[in-house]
Amino acid sequence: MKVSSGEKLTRFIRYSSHFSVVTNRVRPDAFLPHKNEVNISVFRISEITEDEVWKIGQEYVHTEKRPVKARADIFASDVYENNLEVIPVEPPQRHANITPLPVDNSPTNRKARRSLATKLATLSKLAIPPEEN
Amino acid sequence: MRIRRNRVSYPSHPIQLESEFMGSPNVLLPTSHSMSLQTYENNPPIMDDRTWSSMFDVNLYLSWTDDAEQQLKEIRQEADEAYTLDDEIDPVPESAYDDVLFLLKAFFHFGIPMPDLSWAEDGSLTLGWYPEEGTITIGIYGDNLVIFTAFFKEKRQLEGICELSDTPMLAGFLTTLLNTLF
Repeated sequence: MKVSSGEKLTRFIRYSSHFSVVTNRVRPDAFLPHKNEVNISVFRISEITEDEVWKIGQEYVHTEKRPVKARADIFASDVYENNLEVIPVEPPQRHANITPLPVDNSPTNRKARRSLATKLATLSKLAIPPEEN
Repeated sequence: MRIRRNRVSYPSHPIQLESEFMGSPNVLLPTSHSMSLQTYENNPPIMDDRTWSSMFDVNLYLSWTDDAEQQLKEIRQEADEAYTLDDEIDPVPESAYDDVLFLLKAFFHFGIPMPDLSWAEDGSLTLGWYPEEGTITIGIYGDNLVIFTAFFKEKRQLEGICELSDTPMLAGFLTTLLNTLF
């Protein structure tokens, strides 16, 4: 079962260089998983509060050495427009994958992966944890 | 190989190339630079407009490379720490850092503004520009390839790959990048 196009998704970001508070932008690197990975892990966040969204990040993504530093919010419709799917993969609750990225096994596929990451980053909105504001 | 004009202001027309460019990325900073400075201590040069202009360019170039190296140092630290904690992350190869520094020096000569630098879990470095209406990036994996992607919210997009060692293609690519930015 696919996620409906009106749903809002978020990708939790754990690295400072994957976003910029100065430009208020998510960088494509936030949507570039390691080479053999064809899924981008996200959570479905429609109809829950900001506090609840951050709580999901704390519970399932945050670690002591790699805390959640920001998130990239994007609508499922923007994902579908780029010929990708959003597939629920639970548990954990509300988890889903944006898929399939091309496997990084050739320059052409690598370009395609970067192109998709660039689009998703451009269409997403940066959110910073409340204590960071 | 050399570029005709050096500047940091952003030209509104394509840069003219005399021949090839990338073979001498240090065109502003020849290897005899430090020797010349030592000589100045005993024999101060006549400071005409041309000399002032040349020194201004050298100072700008040094400032530019310092900034680039500092940014790369910060990126390397974060990427190395991440790799230490998660062996699924692809390490950024040393050659990628070298390639980025090489490109950044070329940008200076082309009048291309300093990009934001970042790294990704696929072992790449990203040079990015983030105008309000879109994103322009170059991906570097240390394999001699330059992967260019630009996407704007009105759905306009550009993509391309060129080899770092293919000087004519790279010069054309940098001109395209300049035109995309301005």
